[in-house]
Amino acid sequence: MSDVPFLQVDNLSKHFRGLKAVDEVTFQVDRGEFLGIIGPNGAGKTTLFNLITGFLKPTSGRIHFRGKDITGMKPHDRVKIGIARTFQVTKPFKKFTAIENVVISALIARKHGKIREHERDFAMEVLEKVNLAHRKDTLAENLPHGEVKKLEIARALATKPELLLLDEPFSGLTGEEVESLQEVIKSIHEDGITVILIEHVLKACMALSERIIVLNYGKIIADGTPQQVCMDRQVIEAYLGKRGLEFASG
Amino acid sequence: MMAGKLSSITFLNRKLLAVLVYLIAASIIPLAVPSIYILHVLILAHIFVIYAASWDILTGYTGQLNLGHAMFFGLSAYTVAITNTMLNFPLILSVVVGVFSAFLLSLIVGIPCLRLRGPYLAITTFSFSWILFLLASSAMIWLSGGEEGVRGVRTFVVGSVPNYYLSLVLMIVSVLILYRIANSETGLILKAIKEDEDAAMACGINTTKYKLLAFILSGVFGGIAGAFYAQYMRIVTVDVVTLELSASAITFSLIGGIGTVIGPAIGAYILTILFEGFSWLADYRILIYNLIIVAFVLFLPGGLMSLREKIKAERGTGGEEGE
Repeated sequence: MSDVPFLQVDNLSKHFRGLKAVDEVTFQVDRGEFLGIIGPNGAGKTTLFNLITGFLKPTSGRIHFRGKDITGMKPHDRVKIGIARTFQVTKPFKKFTAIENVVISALIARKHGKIREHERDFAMEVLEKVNLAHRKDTLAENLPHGEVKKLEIARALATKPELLLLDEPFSGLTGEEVESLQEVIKSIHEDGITVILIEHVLKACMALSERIIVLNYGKIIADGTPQQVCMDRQVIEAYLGKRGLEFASG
Repeated sequence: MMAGKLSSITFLNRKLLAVLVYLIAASIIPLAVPSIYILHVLILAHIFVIYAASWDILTGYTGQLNLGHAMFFGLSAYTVAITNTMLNFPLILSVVVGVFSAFLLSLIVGIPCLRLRGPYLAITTFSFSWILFLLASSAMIWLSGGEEGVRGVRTFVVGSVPNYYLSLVLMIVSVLILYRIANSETGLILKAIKEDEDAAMACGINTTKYKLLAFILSGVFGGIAGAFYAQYMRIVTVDVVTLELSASAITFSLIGGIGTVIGPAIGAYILTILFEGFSWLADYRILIYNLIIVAFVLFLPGGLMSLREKIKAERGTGGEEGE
């Protein structure tokens, strides 16, 4: 409808002392896109997430969301305008039941006027969405890892986001759990939510993403469809090393 | 579902019944036991109930470890005493100014503390109360009267019985307000911050705002307790800003059950009565007191409030979870 990009990241950098964790990163995300971000450990993926969600302040560069400069905005204000996230290392409210975990987000969403129904009913809907309804009264600390991962997503969904950032949702899951979660994430995207996914489990990431950005040493080294990225010399080199590249190309 | 609802109603009734029994007992005590000493102990208990419950809102609910809660109690008590005796403020104005001083202190301590977590926050709150203690005990003796204290504070009502009822009403109103807040949406948000601050932010919670709110509530009600204490005792000495008083907020809550508001209130009530009631044991009291604390930490870390669940768990009955 408008020419304003949905998410616009311009020359974004984050330096920790001498280390350039994110180095002059520029990219755009369109509304409704499913973007995957991959890269070796320490490539700056999580730092990039923390910058987009406001948990870290950039050293330089700017972030625009729907045309609005959000570079200096607090994390909770970014949630308010529709940016939600999950954490790589899960952070459930351990002493809360599953539904209470989600109610917290729903409560804030209601205060922001994003939902009209009772927050508990809405939280229940969200739990159903991630297939956790049967666990609603279980304390988060008693949930298995795979379900905690889903709970994190439910909690983010209950903020009624337009942009959802998932930080390694598949890490530590069994093959079966990966499949079931993949379905959940796919249906969230089909509901019209723009998704950015950081992932180490490449198979799931490749299957879900329409477009993939590859980070290495804080820089974007490739940006394209999953097929394009897989064939990229630099990407293979980043993952396998120079010798690996020789092997790969036979 | 029905069963769950029914049992929660009976549980509510039981709680209500306990409160009613207590209220009736508390109202007839002065008539049944006309001992000035016992009333004195109970008035102190009422004051410390407010004090402990106010600590719990910030530390038990919001998870912001405050090791210097006496600063709110003490500053308010001193402010009431000084404005009333030296500046001749009417008592009611002194009390307002006293509580306001605790409110200001909660901002002064709270705002820098918003950026601090864990041990740093604990050290900072401890340091603020320590500064206040040093001012009262040495640097500003000209104002605080040092060991002698500030004497001759006026009082709202004369005599033990009126003070007993006044303190009882003040306690009930204060605890009710804190309890209502703790069990509201706001209370749930405060608890979420305690559980995980980053996750709370990710849920859209303005953690800064809610932490400051907890600081203010805690400081103001701590100040109310201190102000009442000043007018009742009619003298304020360094006792009101000591480490011991700060520590007692923690022990009261530990024994009652941290993060429940009612638990710390019960803990304060019981411990104050025990401590004052066994004054003939002199310093052995402190030994016994500390042994009780150690025993609770080891065997009942959830405090008295967790007793019911613990008994239920040991009996092995699932209890009232039935939906």
